[in-house]
Amino acid sequence: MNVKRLTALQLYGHLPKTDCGRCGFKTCMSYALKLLEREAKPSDCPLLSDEQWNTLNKLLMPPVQASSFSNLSVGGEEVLYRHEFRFFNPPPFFMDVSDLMPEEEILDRIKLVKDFSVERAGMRLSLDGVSVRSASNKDYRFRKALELVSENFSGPLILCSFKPEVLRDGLELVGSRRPLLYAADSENWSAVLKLARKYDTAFVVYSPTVEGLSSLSKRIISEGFSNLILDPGIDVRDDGLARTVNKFTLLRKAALDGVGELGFPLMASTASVWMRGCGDESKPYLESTIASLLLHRFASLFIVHSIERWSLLPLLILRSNIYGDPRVEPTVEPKLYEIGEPNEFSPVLLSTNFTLTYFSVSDDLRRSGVSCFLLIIDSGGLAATVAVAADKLSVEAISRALEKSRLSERVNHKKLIIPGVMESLKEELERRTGWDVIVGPQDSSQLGVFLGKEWSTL
Amino acid sequence: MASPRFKLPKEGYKQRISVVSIGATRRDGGTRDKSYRIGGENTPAFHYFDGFKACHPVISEDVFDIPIHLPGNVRHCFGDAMEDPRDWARLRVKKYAAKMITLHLVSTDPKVGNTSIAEACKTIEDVLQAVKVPLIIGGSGNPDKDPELLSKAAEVCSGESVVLSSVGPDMNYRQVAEAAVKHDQSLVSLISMNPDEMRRFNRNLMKLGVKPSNIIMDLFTGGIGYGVEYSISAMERCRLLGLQGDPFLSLPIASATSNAWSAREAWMHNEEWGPRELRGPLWESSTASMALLSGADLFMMLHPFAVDCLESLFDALFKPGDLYSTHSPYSMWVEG
Ligand code: B12
Ligand code: SF4
Repeated sequence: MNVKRLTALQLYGHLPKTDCGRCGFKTCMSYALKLLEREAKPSDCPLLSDEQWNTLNKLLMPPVQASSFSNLSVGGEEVLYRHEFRFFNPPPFFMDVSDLMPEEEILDRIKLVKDFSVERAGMRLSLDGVSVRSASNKDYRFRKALELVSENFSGPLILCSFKPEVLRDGLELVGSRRPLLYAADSENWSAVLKLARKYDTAFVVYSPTVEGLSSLSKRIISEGFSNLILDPGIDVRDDGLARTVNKFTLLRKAALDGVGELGFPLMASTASVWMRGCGDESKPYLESTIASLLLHRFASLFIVHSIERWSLLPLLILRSNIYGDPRVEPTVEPKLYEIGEPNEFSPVLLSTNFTLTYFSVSDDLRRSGVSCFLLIIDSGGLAATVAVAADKLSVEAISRALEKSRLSERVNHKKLIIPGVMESLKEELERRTGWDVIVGPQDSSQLGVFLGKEWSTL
Repeated sequence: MASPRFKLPKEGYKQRISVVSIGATRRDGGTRDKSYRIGGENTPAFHYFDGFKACHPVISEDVFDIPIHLPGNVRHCFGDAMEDPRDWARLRVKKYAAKMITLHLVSTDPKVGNTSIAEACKTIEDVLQAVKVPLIIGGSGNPDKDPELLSKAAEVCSGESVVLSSVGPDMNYRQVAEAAVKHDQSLVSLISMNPDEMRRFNRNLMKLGVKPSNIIMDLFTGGIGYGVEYSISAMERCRLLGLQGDPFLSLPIASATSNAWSAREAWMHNEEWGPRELRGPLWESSTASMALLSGADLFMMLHPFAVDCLESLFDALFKPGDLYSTHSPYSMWVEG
């Protein structure tokens, strides 16, 4: 069984219990709840004794420690299944750059990291950093590639080489940016450790076996250093995938079972997939597939090689899905929204306050170029389809929202367009509100056509 | 010197997931060429370190009884065969090596074609003739008509061990359950993403005499970006409760992965997202892989390329080889 998850009550036991409110919360208990959610820190309570302070910090340390480099913090997880609590730190994606690539290609890759961004449900999804590896094994090439990258990219970096001299060269150039160092193994670890100490950054420990990771990490911890990330490797041979998934799962489980030396974030370089002997065309597909498996199975950081947007897109979206807080429905404020510059002739549309719903509908409307009013009602954060299926929409509440919006003062008509899925509410809505209720298309992506064709004649 | 192998204490799951057989060969009184067994897990998916064992999952490929609207990059794979469910099923089996077919009788819905039950049964018989792989018989989703359709289908397919998809609490499931018991067919119980309701509903089915070896749970599969996280959690919760001994949840899981195509990112033309040809299948196969990791045993899928991709994932993930191999070419990626 997993170690029992920490509870607010446990934390409360170590608080001063004065309910003085100086932490910014009304009671010690509400502060304890915020501590658990990582929305407050022990330093927020000025009344803690040294002993309480120490105990709290110890209790709050997640079993998968958070490691940090550049401006990133990765790991810091505490469950095996997201339904047990939540996952906290969405794994950053680093774009692979090798010093054997022509300058053009390196610049293209940097451009992709900077430009490829998808607006989705109010979030901007994008890649996070650039990883530069010494494939040539020639220090001047590595330095040149790194110079190019650092001049054109100011975000998080990883330096990759198993040769400490190469890493040191790289650090001389970009050390102040605290790049992640990849990687230490049983031979070079003490040299890599020295560099990480000097530049105050994290490094990756690689071994293809759990025992190897465990013994290496134990030795490093005993040197008093613990800003580590573990890479168990992806076995790219035919029978290797089962082994890979097994290792990642075992490592997370071990961390949660309290095996301290394995309590570090895991990483995966799916760029390794490109070593396999299959046609290049299928590699982005394969890489995306393996990365999605490891997104589910506990990798906290990725190095990716594919530059195909179609293969990166599902990864970015899946990451935001898996790392979303399962206990809350993401919502937007239920109120009247204006799309474009609506006037008294503009259409009025209705939808619900689930974030994904609001953004899908409003994006579709914007794309269609039609100015209109969008009345977002409170569905308790449910999608339109779900709210209908769950019978959570009251005509009463909708008509109140309609009144409150004062739309009747802003438009010169009384026509309300509802989503296709709400068809069954039409008659009762008309009776309650006195508005003409028009059933729109099932999918809001059809709204452009619908409004273009029908609005003038409605 | 080799260090001692790293071991964790065993989790000690109490109960195995039941095994459901689909399809009956001549030996078992049917006319199928092959039959499949799904389920049987003793740990969460691929927890080999805990002794994971399970039947190989199976993919059943969609065939609709009328040419419904499908994204262009899917339609393209089937062409004219979509006009006739027999041809479509044959193409699935011959060209794409389908192991199982789901025949969706969508036209029976009064709002679609209102095909009569008798006519729908004729279609079932035709498809049983046309292909010799095991079948899943799917209704239209109309809660008034599906009970009669599915119970008649149970009768028509007597001896073939088909799966009837699906039953839920908002229909006369009793009628379907009784027919399934009488004709020894299996049922898909569909409850959208709600383990508590799933448990309650399965208990009702079992009270009607349906055996755990004849129930497959469908918790609904939302595509990536369209609720996949809810599906992951619903499946994982049910699987864990089942393994921990809940007799109403220790059942195989079905994933109607074709739902992934309802995500716009799977089919919509959009330059920012890159070409659709592989984006669509990838959307479906990656959604499937999430279901697979969450415990799914039976996949109902649409695009042949996504099917192929998932098949090769099965092969890779169910062939653990030497789990503790100490050699790996992985680290060469840096210099490769
Ligand atoms: C995620 C999800 C859930 C989540 C809810 C997440 C949330 N915050 O809403 C959870 C797990 C909680 C859930 C629960 C249930 N769900 Co659910 N769920 C889904 C799922 C997978 C995705 C929903 C979604 O996010 N859609 C995307 C958003 C953007 O869609 P939308 O809001 O409807 O908006 C679209 C259209 O309606 C339209 N639109 C919206 N606004 C407007 C406005 C205008 C003017 C116009 C013209 C159009 C328009 O365009 C939008 C873009 O396409 C769907 C399956 C699916 N693919 O739809 C099932 C689904 C909607 N759920 C379903 C069901 C039955 C349920 C439950 C009732 C199951 C149960 N018995 O418990 C419960 C009820 C919830 C409750 N009691 O609280 C069924 C509904 C069947 C039906 N049509 O009757 C579906 C279709 C799945 C299925 N086939 O079984 N669900
Ligand atoms: S500041 Fe400390 S003692 Fe005061 S309410 Fe907050 S937690 Fe309690």
